[in-house]
Amino acid sequence: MLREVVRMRSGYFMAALMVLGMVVAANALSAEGIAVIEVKAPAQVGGSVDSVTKLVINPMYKNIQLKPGEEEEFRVKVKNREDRAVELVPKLQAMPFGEYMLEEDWVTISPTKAVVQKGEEQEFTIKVSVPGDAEVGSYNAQITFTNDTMPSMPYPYPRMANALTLSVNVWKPPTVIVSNNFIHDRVEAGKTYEYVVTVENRGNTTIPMKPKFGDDRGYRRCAGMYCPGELEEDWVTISAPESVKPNSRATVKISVKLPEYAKGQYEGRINLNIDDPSRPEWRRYDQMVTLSLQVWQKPSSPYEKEFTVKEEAKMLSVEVSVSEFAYQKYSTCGNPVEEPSFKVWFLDSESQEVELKPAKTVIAEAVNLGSWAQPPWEAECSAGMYTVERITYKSTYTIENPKAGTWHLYIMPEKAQKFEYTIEVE
Amino acid sequence: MLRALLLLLLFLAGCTAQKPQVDSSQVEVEELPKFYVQGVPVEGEKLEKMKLDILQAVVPFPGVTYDAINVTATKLGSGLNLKVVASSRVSEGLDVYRFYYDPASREITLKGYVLEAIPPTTRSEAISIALGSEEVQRMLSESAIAVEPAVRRILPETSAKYYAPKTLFSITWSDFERRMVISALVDLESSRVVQAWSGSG
Repeated sequence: MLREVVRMRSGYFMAALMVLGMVVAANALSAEGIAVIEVKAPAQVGGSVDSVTKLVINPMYKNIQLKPGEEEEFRVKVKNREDRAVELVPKLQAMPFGEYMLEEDWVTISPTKAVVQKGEEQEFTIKVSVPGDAEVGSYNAQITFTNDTMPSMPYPYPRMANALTLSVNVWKPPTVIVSNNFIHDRVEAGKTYEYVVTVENRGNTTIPMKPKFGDDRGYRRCAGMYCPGELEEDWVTISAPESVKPNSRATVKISVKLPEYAKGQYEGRINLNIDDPSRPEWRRYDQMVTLSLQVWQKPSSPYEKEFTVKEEAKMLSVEVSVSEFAYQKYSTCGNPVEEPSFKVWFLDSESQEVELKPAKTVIAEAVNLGSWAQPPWEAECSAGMYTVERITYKSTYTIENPKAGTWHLYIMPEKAQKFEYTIEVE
Repeated sequence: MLRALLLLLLFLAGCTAQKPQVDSSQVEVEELPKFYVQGVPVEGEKLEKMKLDILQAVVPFPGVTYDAINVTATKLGSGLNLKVVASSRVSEGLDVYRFYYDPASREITLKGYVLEAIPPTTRSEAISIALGSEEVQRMLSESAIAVEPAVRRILPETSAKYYAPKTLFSITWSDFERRMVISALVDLESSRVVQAWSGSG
């Protein structure tokens, strides 16, 4: 942070030096009789601060969420801080920015004008009525109480000095409900998996739908070495009806055919492209279906480790363990997730195969009381409740009085992306 | 109220796990869930009262019927800690409650809950509403979290502190190690996100 400040300051210093240098150079040139071009300061837009009527407006920002046909009223207090009486005439004005200007006839302000004595306060009632046929969206305007403007460098328009910013979000309950926005599964390379997304149309009109793979607008792409791979478009086939009839459900079938070479974590997105009249196009985030697949590749050969058993060893034990996050145990769309398992065998010092069953199995869990990184409403009600975060499966294989010499351990994992093992010779 | 009265009648009749002989044309009787108690032994009248209190205290979300209720009793101070896990065929999720049983008053007090027994359609609707919020979407895109969220029912006593005394739903996304968590508190009645929260551990 300090480094940033120093860098900024040094930047300003350099800029100041350059300007100074230019002035000195210009003077020097002038002295030599060369014409100097006079550069005028940009004209100031808006009045000066001193000429602005001093008012206190409370609140200065108001956001209202209304459905078409609804109305809401609120009050705003304006206090006169001048040493004289001030006339206030509230007016609805366009915002310098903003896509939708709040319609003038949606807003009623009373009283329409008022003279406020020195130090006195005037209350205005503002009523916002959204017509029944209004389109969903965000409508903005400012309510000014005087015509005073403020300098607004570097912008080429004046800023209203005594204004309340009014933002009205016109919304409708969602007409389309999508089930399974997030598909997470543990899958095997070379196999095909089917997933189903249900789209429910609760409205009275038929809604068009055109799912498209790979549209991830609005999402930040993961950057860095731990990011999942991108699911290839060729692997994914989507079949869906072209529309969803009123008060009915449609299913979008997503088929993912994983190539033999697929390995690790993959992610991809499907935009259902549903023309939902209750959501403006830029807010149709719930139409995105995320596919998150953990691809397990069945190894063709087991892991092998050579080790030595000393003379007169009494016990040889091998512990194989795999640890996974609790969420990995679950998958969407009802595909069962199998627990990881292993086939373990040895070749003893005489190259005889020794296949064993685990002498001991252990399940260990990392449990969290959930006291951190929880929304307050969950932290409060789940106090004293436990959350399993990580599960570890361990299997121990033992051989009594193993023969001395060189042994080989073989581990063939099943449904496990990684594992750990220990060899203990006593 | 009707449920409580019905349960009391069933208790007095000594047939808490069976349908009573009533005229089904007049009163529709819910089949009671199977009730299992394990851990510290609780017996006799004390057990029956405890069962009745639990049955009255655990209320599933409309559309969900509990098929089984598992109670695990462990000693806590002079009383008992009761972990109550209610399951339903309707939902993959479970409703988990934690009660404290005071032997002096023979009363149970709700100490905590995590309620995930929610019908799939309701669950999807709650997620859909949360995803429709611009604020939630901004948080999700900034964090790059893209996993299935947990959907939990928040009881009116808790909701009152954050919005209004009504049933709300908490839609929570967390990354793999819960280092980054994003949550939306959703009011299903008005189809809106009443609060959004993000935090990191």
